[in-house]
Amino acid sequence: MLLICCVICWNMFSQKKQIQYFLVSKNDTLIKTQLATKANQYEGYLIINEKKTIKKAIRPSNLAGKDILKDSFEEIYFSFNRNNDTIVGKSYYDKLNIIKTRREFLQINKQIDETRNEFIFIEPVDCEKFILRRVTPIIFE
Amino acid sequence: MTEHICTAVQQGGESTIWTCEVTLNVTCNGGGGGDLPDGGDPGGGTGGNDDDDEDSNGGGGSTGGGSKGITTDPILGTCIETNTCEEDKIINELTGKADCVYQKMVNGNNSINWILENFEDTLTTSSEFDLILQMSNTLGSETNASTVRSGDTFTISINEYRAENINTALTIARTIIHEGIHARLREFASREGSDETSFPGVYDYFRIYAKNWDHQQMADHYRSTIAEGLKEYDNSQNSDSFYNALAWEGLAEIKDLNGDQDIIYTLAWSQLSPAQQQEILAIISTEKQNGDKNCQE
Repeated sequence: MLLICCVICWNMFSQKKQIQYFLVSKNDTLIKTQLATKANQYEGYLIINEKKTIKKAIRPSNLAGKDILKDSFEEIYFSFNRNNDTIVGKSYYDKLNIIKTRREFLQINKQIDETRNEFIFIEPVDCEKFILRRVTPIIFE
Repeated sequence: MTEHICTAVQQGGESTIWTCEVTLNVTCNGGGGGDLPDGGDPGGGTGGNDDDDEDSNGGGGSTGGGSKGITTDPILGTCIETNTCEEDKIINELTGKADCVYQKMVNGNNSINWILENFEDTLTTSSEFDLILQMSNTLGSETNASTVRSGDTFTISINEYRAENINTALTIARTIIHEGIHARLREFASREGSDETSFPGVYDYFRIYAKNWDHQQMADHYRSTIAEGLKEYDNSQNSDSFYNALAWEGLAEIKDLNGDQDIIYTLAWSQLSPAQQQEILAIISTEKQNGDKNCQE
C-alpha cells in the first residue's frame, strides 16, 4: 500500500515537461523571426497556422471607439534569449527527435501547452552546426 | 410593499431626476456624464510609475436619461427600481472553472468588485455600459482572454480550453482581474463627454502610446491591484512578491497594436533588470507548473 502511494505521489510530483525540438525552415514564409533592433530589444518567432481561424479584435484608432472583430489565422508567438543558445554538431543533431515541418508542429500542438512542453527551436548554421534555442510561448491577455 | 410611482421633476440634457413620494430621488440609466465622485483619474499620468494605482474609486457618477418604473418602499424609505428601467448590468455567462473562480472573487472582498462597479447600477448611479463575461472557443491557443467593445457592451471572453485544461485557478483569477481592468479603463474613456479633463491619465497614455495605451497604463499603475486581488483570492498563502510576479503576465510582452503586431516590451517591464525579469518569469513558470488547477466551490 505504501509502495502504491509512493508511486502515485512520484507520478504526481515528477511530471517532467516533454521537450519538443522543432527545425525552423527558412523557406517557410509562415514562420517569421523578429530580431532585436535599437528601439525594440524583443526577439522571437511567429508561427502562423493557416488551418485555424480565430476571431481577432481590431482596436479603433480613437480612444472611445468600438472594436472590429475579424477572422484571422491563428498566430503563435515564441520569445527567446539568444544568450541561452547552444551550438551542437551534426552527430548530436542526428540523435534528436526533431519536428521538421510547421504543419507537423501545429498538428502536435493543437493547443500550446507550456505547462507540459518545453520548446527548443533549431536553426542550422551550416551543414555541421546547429543552434539549439530554447523558446517560450507568449501568453496574451 | 406599497408601490408609489415616482415622477420626473427635472429633465436636463444629461439627466432626469425622479422624485418619489418618500424622500429620495432616483435616476435611471441612459445618457449621463459619469464623473468620478472625487474628480480623480484612473491610474494617474505617465509621469509616475509602479503601482500608485489607488486612484479615485470610480463609480458611475452622475447619470440620467429617461425611464419609468421606480417604486418606493415606504417601510424602508428607499426607492427601488423596477424592471421597467432599462438596466445596464454585468452578465455572467462563464462556466466551469472560470465561473467557479469568478464567483469566489465576487463573493469575497476582492478587487474585482471595485473594478466591476463601473458596470453596476445602484440606486443613485447607473452605468452607460453592460459587461458580459463569457467563455470562448475562438481565441488563439496562446490567448487567455480578451476584452472587446461592441456598441454599449464590453465583452470579456475567457479561453475555455486554457481555463479548463491548462491554467491554474490563480491564473484564471489573474486573467479575470486583468480583463476587468481593461474594461474599466475603456469604460472611463468611452463615457459620453469623457475628455482629457475628466480622465487626464487615460488621455495622457493614449496620447503617448496610442492603441497600446491600456497595457502600458496597467503595467505602470495596476499591477498592485491585480496582486492584491490574487492575494485575497489565495487567502494570502504566498508572499507579496509571488502575487506581484504573477501580475506581470500579459503586461511584459505585448502585441504592438500600432504597427504590424510585432511584439514589444512594455516600458515598465523594460525598466526591470534582467535579474528581476528572470525572477518574475521563474515564479510565473513555477505557478503554471505546480499551481492548483482546481477551484473548490
